[in-house]
Amino acid sequence: MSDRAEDRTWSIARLLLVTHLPFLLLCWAVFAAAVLVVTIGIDLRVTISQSVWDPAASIVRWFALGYGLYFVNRMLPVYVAHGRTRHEFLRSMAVFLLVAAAMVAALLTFGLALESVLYRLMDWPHRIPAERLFDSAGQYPLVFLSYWAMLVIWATIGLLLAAGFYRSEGWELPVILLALAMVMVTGYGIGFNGLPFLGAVVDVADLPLAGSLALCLAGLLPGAAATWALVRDIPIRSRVV
Amino acid sequence: MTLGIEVAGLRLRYRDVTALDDLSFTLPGGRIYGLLGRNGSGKTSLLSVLAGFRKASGGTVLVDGQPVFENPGITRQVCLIRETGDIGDRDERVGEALHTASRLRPGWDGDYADALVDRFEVPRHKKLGELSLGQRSTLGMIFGLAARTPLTLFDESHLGMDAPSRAAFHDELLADFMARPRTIVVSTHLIDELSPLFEEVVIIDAGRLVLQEETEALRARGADVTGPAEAVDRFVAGRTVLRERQLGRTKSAMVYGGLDERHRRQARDAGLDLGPVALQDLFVHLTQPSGGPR
Repeated sequence: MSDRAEDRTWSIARLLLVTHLPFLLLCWAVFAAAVLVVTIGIDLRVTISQSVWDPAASIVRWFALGYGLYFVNRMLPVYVAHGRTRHEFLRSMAVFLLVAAAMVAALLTFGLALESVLYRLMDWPHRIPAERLFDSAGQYPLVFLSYWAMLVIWATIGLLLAAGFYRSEGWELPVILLALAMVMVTGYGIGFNGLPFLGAVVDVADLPLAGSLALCLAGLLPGAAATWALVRDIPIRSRVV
Repeated sequence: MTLGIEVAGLRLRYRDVTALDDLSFTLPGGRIYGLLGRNGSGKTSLLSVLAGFRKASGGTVLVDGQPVFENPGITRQVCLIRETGDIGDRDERVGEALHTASRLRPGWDGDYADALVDRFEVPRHKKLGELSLGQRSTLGMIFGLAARTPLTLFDESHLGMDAPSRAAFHDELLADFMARPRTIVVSTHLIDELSPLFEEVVIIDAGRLVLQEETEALRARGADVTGPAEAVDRFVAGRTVLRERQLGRTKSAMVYGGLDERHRRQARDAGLDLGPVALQDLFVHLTQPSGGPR
């Protein structure tokens, strides 16, 4: 018998963290290099007047969405096939998403701070989009919180959409509507609410931080609850690898 | 360690379709069972419920006396290998899939898995999605054996495997079962090829139990009668004939219905040979719609 075998509930979370955190770190390095190249490219054509990193970081939420879709569609059946329950999967997924999102948010915050140093050296104005919770790269806790919330919310949206479509049974439209509601409500709170072809769904007002957090939770919790309800007895269908 | 299965009044519905309908049976632990049924009879549905892949619509399914669905104490001890393969993501390499199994399966035997991967020449560096159907099936069988679960279920797991590979795997399955007794259920359409493994057979049709019987007792339900054509025709007259073959003046007829000692003596006196009936022919007879052979 394998002495590495772990018959504990959190083995999924450990496995995911060990497997994916190095990959996410590598992705961040590639992302940082790409942003640097884009920044240089912009500088060659026009005068840089605002942060390139922050708008680029907001694109990472689509990556988080993809992660959520991937885990339910591709990995949930694998874990159930290896004797894990849906309940264990969801609990472990929650732990993984919170930790992985925290790591990526910390890296994004670090990247924004590095960018602000670069801008200062180049004497470029380091402006942040007005809809963000933070005004400058130096507000580290707020920057981190914004990115972290963005990643957790969008990964949850991915889980929700994947659960609805995997389950089918007429759940596709309801989960799309709920996902849109999550985007709008939480976007109002954290300032990441743009959608392709639609732009910003709502105008973000100057809410107090507590109000922003309340909006995030108001959008996140129903989505998380719906995901749980859809996955807890989801049938694992036959599929072709 | 072996696990027994108790199924009572099991129902499974997919929207308008009833896949399993009031199914009840008990399988004591420590044996190899054959699960037989026509396409769409409910075999995959039944195995999916037994492994906790699907929640039953009604009735009870107990493994080792406990419910299966979302019960980690039981699902850890059950391994279902389906024909389509759920053992890993299609973008995972074989080596990564083996590693994942080693982290998630408490009883995983990594050395045994490695030995089987080498013996059956499954390429470790290839992604699962790049494997041929036969290689995927082989890998699935390896996962099923190396998981060392007290209840192992194979659902048409040998699809795409060539005959020598299937034979080698059946030998391996039997050898491993003898060394580490557990409960194994094999669903297959290759009835005659696999029947030597089965100690007991469960046949379902249209989601209902047709019969559950020891393989030898099932075979005794019929006989293959061979001899001069006229003598065979006289002997089988009035009996249910499953299949007939004739070569020149020699004829072979497979009859359904037990033959007592008096009938056997009559056959011998008439110069007829009596042989065991093929399980597949019995299966065809038992699951065909009414109006089959005479």
